[in-house]
Amino acid sequence: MRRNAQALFGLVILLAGIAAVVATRDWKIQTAMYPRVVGIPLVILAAIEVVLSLRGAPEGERQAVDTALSETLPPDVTARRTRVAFTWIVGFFLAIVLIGFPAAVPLFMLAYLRGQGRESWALSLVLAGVAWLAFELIFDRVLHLPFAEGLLLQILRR
Amino acid sequence: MLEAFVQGLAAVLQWNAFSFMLIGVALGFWVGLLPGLGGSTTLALLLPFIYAMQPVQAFAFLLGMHSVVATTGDITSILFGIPGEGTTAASILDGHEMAKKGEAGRALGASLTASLFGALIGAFALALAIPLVRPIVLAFGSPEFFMVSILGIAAIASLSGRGPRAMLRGFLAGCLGLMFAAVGSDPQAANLRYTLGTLYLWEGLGLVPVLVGFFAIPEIVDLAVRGSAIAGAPSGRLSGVLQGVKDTMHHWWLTIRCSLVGTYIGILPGLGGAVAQWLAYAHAVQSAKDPVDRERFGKGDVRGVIGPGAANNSKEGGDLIPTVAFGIPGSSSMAILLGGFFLVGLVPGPDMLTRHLAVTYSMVWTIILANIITVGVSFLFLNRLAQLTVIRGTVLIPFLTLLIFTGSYTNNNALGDLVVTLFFGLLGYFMLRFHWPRAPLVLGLVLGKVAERYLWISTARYGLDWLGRPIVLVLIALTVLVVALPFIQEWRARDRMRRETAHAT
Repeated sequence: MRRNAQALFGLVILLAGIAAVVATRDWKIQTAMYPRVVGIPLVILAAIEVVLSLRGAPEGERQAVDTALSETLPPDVTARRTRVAFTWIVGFFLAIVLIGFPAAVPLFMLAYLRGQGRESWALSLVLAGVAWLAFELIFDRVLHLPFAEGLLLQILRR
Repeated sequence: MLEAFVQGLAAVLQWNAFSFMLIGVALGFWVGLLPGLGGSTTLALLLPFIYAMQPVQAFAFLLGMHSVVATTGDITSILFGIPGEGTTAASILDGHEMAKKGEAGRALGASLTASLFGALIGAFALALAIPLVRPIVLAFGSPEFFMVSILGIAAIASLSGRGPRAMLRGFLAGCLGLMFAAVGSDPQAANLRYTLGTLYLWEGLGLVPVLVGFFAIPEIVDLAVRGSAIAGAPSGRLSGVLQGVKDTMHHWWLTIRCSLVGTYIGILPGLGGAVAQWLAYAHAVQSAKDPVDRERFGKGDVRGVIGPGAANNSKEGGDLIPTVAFGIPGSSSMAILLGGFFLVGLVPGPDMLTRHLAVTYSMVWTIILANIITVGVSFLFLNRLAQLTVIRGTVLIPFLTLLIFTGSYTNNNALGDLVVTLFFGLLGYFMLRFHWPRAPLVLGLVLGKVAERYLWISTARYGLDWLGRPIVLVLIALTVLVVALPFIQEWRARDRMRRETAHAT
């Protein structure tokens, strides 16, 4: 299962590499030289990685010099919690797109603290208020960042 | 010269210059802590305030802010796994792992001490190197700069793990990073590449949205999966901080070497702090005694905190050398600072080394004093900061998610920044899940534009003859050595083990 997932990840990189190199075929040399110089080794290395993954070649000590994800919980629990975490992150992004940053910030904070974190109403409301206040003060009042209006508001205004 | 050195100190210590420096330091402290808010952006925002200032006051204000952002950026990287600055991402690899083990105090103590030493070494390098640096910089042309880029990527890719498979993935990640650098208009003819028909990608991928997503989203997901606080064990208190300080003292030679790496990368135009930290990290990994010792990196080895911590501060002094001496800014921040020179009526170049030497030395003193103050203040609050790692994950996660998205959005003020952050968050997660190293990808992305420009200029100007230039040959040999070194170390370790086994039987 894990071997297939690894091979699939390598395959995605391989296909993206091939697509990137193929895209250069109609470009002028000054535009295409660099992506070709980099893209061809990328495709070769990705193909080797896919073959090694499919053959189940040993990964040696398999640890990259990088941080590691926790592997102490049962795989099904890890998979479920990972999906939930990504759903919240993507949900916040969608909220920003639909209703804009200023409204999405307190809404997301309150929803996460109360819905996912099971925190008390009082703590959730206070922390959501603090987050909104800090956001307004730093990014709006001090830095004057131009935050895009939410898509829903734009549609409703028409 | 000594007189100018003392005059520089006296000028910075005057109450008005010192006050402006303190304001700058306070701003830099917070800019470093907040992800996404970059030192160069803030430098640009501060420029309009220096019109009425004297040169020493203006540089105390600007450099006071800019020279400390990497120091406090390391704090965010270590505690939350979110790069406080683009130049502090490498501190996450081991620093955040230490925080997870309850050694946040030790990691911060080591990082701050290394930062201070790095800043001091960078500042003294600036003071000493000004008369000597001209031939070093002028010896490097486009071919040499291209080879430095390749050497950097080879170093980090070859040190990305143990064994051929890990190296394969290291080089694959490096190529992927170089490929991502091709997104946007090409530097030669400004033709568009891989922009997916969007205006947003015309200028390429912004480093801030990429780094924030790449490092912070996998950390947040992992925090949610664990369902606990960042620190699995109780957070280290004062003893941990002092241990971190002792660690830096114990690894003093590594601190100096990584500081010098940072200073030299700072001197070279176009490379900058984002590169310096990774090369210093690679150097720290390379300094491991054997493959087993090297395996400790990425799992909370204090040497992985000391190296980048020293380098990302020492590059400030190095960065200033070509800016002050030749008017050639080594980075975007220095290009903005160059604007500051003209605003206060100074012209970088020979005048800064003769008539305005005291002003130049006041910059050296500003870097030194600003970093001493920042590190001192940080130490005062360190225990409170370390306690943040024992806050429940469910409370911390929404705040971190908010920081990620707002930090990323500050890059271009566009929703595209958030899409890039999400994409790289997902990519970073899968790379971690399947044990692909992320550092080579980041270095490839950072160096890609530089490498492409220098490759094109070298080929257009010299054909293939550039491959025979003496410094290029030395750099090629170094690259081969860097790739071969892990295999040689592995072979020697196995040979030693075989001899020990034979001796035992």
